Amino acid sequence: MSRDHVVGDMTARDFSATYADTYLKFKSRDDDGYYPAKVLDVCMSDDKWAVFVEKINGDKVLLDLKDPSIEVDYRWPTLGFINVEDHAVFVRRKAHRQWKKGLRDLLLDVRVMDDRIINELREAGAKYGALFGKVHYEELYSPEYTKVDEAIEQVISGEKIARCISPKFAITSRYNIENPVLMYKDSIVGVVNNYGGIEIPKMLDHLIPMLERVVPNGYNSISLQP
Amino acid sequence: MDTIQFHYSHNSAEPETTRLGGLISGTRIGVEVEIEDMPDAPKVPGWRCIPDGSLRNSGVEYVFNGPIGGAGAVSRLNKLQAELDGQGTFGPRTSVHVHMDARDMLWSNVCDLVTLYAMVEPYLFSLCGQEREESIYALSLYRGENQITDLINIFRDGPLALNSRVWSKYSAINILSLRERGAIEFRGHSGTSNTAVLCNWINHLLALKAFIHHPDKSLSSLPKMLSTHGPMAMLREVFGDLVNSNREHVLYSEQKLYHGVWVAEELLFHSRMRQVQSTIRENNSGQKQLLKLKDKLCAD
Repeated sequence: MSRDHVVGDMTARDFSATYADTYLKFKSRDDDGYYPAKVLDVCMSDDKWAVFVEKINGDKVLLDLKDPSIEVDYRWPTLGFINVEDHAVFVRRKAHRQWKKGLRDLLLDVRVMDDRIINELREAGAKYGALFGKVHYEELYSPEYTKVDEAIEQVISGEKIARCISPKFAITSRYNIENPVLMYKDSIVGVVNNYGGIEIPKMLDHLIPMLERVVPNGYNSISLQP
Repeated sequence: MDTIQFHYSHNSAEPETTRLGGLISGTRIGVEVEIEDMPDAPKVPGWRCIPDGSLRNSGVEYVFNGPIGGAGAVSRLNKLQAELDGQGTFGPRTSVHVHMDARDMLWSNVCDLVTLYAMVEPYLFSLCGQEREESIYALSLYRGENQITDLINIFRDGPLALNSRVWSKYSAINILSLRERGAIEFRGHSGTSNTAVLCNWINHLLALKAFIHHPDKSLSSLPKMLSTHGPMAMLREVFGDLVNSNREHVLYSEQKLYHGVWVAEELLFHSRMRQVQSTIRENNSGQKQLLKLKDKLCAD
């Protein structure tokens, strides 16, 4: 991690200007692993300074970054597809003029799989809160992907609207499409047939090597269609 | 067929110099080198020195005094290196921007060059300084994927639709410079005045253009080459012997290169994807899934 670089090279004022109001990952003595938290403020007194951060669950912690037991991960998460409740979202980063280096809302482009379906479900009585928000940042930083056969089963059965199988691929129901489909980012690239296999048109065979890499165990269920 | 010079009403491109001086082609370039801690910045022949408010402690930017190619460009780089020796600081805020003349390129050539750049970008960022792939002033395409959608629209809409509303200059590859200067700007490299490092970087950029103009080279064959022959073969096809002296960067970027190729494939095959999406929607319309979801998720 680049903890030494930041603490050694940046002043408290620099740190505040660069990371306040953005998300970073922190790890302190009592934590099992890194956790994402929002940098709320940088507190300064004489030659000491510390950062005041808020975890996703709302807990607020003061961290002295010069304490060698505290580590900071400044890298952005991978982004791409993440599972959110019964649906999935595809998250991309935008290039944008700004001083802040950490992750913040205005730099994210979020597509919901599939907001028209969710609206229909809401009208039919299903309760859905925000389709993506701060509470889902934990998932953004530590995404868990569903195995392709489980994803197909859960979506076909109607148990889930969508499940992501990798940062780039998801199985999802789409509004006014009879069968679940395979998404590559925000494009529909294949159909889940009635036997639970995925059919991809031959003209998109360039996706196959990518699928082989991301779903090695589920590759047998994927077939090319002329 | 109309060139970039025609589309944006630039002066016509002068013939490329044949005195290469260590560069692999005579294409004209412009170079901007940022440096901090320069209260008494020296004058350097062939360069303009401009105060830069985004830098610390009297930071300045040295900018080529007009575009130049080949040996003339290398001579300027040598002079800058000599004058800045032992002066200033190339900290994390500093960078080098290279503008490459594209006035002689067709719009389709530019689209191909951007796609080729996307394909090899992870390797290029290994050369630039890996920590810069997420730079807020030069965001890589493979770490800022929303830019891909923007590029697809720009490729489709053509040169006259290119403006600051549809593309950000804070991308690692700034195509807005086509309109302003008839050039493509590469913003990725970390700050340095080392001539050898800069020539290595510039040669890689020139190689991209040379690949696109080469009649026997095929952009669409590169993804398959990566799959079947590996990263070294693909990069050698693009950069030739340059990769021999940059093997550690090839090794470092091997896995990330797949992400670059996936980004490029999205640019290459986007129209096919749209076609497939339309066909699937037309041939599979129905509410079966929605009814199942209502049954499962809206119970009670």
